Amino acid sequence: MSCRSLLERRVRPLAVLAALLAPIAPAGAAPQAVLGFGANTWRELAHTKGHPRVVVFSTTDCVHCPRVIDQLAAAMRQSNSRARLAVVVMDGAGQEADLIKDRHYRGAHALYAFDGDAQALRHTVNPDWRGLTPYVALIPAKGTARFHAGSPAAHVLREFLRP
Amino acid sequence: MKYLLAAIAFTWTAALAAHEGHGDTPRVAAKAARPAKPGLAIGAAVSPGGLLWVVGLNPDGRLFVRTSTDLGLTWSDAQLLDSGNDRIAADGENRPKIAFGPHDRVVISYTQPLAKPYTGEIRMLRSDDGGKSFSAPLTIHRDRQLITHRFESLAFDRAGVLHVVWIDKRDQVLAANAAGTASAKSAYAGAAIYRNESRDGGLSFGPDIKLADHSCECCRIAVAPTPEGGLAAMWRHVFEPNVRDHAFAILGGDKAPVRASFDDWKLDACPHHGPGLAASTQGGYHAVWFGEKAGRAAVRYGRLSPVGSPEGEARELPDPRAEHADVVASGRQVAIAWRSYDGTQTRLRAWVSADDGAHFALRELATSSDENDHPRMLATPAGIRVLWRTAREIHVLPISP
Repeated sequence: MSCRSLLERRVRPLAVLAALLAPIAPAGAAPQAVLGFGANTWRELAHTKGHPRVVVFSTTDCVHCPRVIDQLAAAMRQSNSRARLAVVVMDGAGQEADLIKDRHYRGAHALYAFDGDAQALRHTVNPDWRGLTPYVALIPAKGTARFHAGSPAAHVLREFLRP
Repeated sequence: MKYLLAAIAFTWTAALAAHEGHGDTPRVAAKAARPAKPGLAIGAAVSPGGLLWVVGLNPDGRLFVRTSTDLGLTWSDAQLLDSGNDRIAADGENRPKIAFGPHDRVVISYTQPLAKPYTGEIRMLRSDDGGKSFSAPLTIHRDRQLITHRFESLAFDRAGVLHVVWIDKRDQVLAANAAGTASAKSAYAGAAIYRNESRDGGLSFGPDIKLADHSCECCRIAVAPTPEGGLAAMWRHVFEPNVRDHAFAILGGDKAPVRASFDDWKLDACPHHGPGLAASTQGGYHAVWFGEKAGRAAVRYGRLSPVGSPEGEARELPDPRAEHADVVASGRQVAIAWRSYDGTQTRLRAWVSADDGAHFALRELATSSDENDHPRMLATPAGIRVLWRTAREIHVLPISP
């Protein structure tokens, strides 16, 4: 529901305030949309300054991915890290409604689906990646991404998430 | 009130700006994902009459077959098949398959993903008139739980018995129930390999039979004829404690599965990258698979004994970006084809041996900038062919003669 329609209906101001402040909710707010992961998305994620980022590449049939996403989200909460968690469901295009409802992705700040040739998009992320999932990228606030097949080792994650 | 609304509006705008500025959803990517396109994955086989058949999904997501009398130089119009309301998996490791049996029997199988994540049923259309008409789809396994039954492979043996083998999670459910835990994964590693047989071309099937506990969950199963007229299968397995190597078994044989690769890849993840298998005329098998050995990820080729154990050292394909290789053998000729993406285009390449795998030579077969499927190898009466579907066409490329 848009800001305008709420105002027009003269909903009580405090309720409006709560709804409007949602965009600055703390880490882990469930994604409200599935965004297209296109040819430039990785560059944007990897080079946008600000927060460190954890990006998990997943597929709808990846049985290991939900556990890894949960572990990463929990580690981020526990460490009070400023890091942001993004999940990219590589074969998720056309299944947006299901992805939004899927509890496995609720710990993410942003949810994407591949929008284009999967081979080419994988190559933009890391030419050496052969499509294994979960594939986890740890992108520091300053510096280059490091990639992990499956969950990163605990000590690597602790170091990355250190406030 | 006016001031309150103005403050709210300012707060909202500032919040959004901060959100974007921190790059949670970079502006360039902030558009909805587009609708899914039907996958390009196809199955192929040569009929007893020498026609090349392919089965796949058309751009509307409808199941079709096409035939070629000249091994891909020209194609018939697509014949659309009635698969009811089934969703059909046709992407990457999951593809429709086609197989020819005796008495004009033709079967087409696919995995139908179900509403719950990670679940599916294996469905089959069958024909008794050489493919002129097909039945409505039927589910081929007896277990009907809303669980994984996926990644099927199928073939007729020399006696005309149809064998289907698939990945199945019924044992994980049982283990979780027995352990009283909601975490099925902690109760049972991986999935299981199940199989069944039909002696009437898919009209009816025998019981679901467990072939192996603890398979990997998301990789295709390779099936190849044995020299004795039976069928052999190779799949990615979860060996103790958590090693994703490969196992081999003769379908319907009396021997337990054996370990066929020793990469020692310890991994809690889905490679989405199953093996390829072909019988050698000299005895044993040719196998290709993807794995990480001593920290080095590669597609490797190896020889297996007649019971599936490795013989000699596995060799890396001469392409560090090789993926989704397939293998076929015809006489002493062995051919392995794979795809390899270089950042601008996909190269279809092959490694070809004229001496049963002792020596190989690299060949460049084709390139494409379009989306494309994994390559499929076929031994036809006219020689070895590679099938490769791109977004524009189905290529059929000769390896021999």
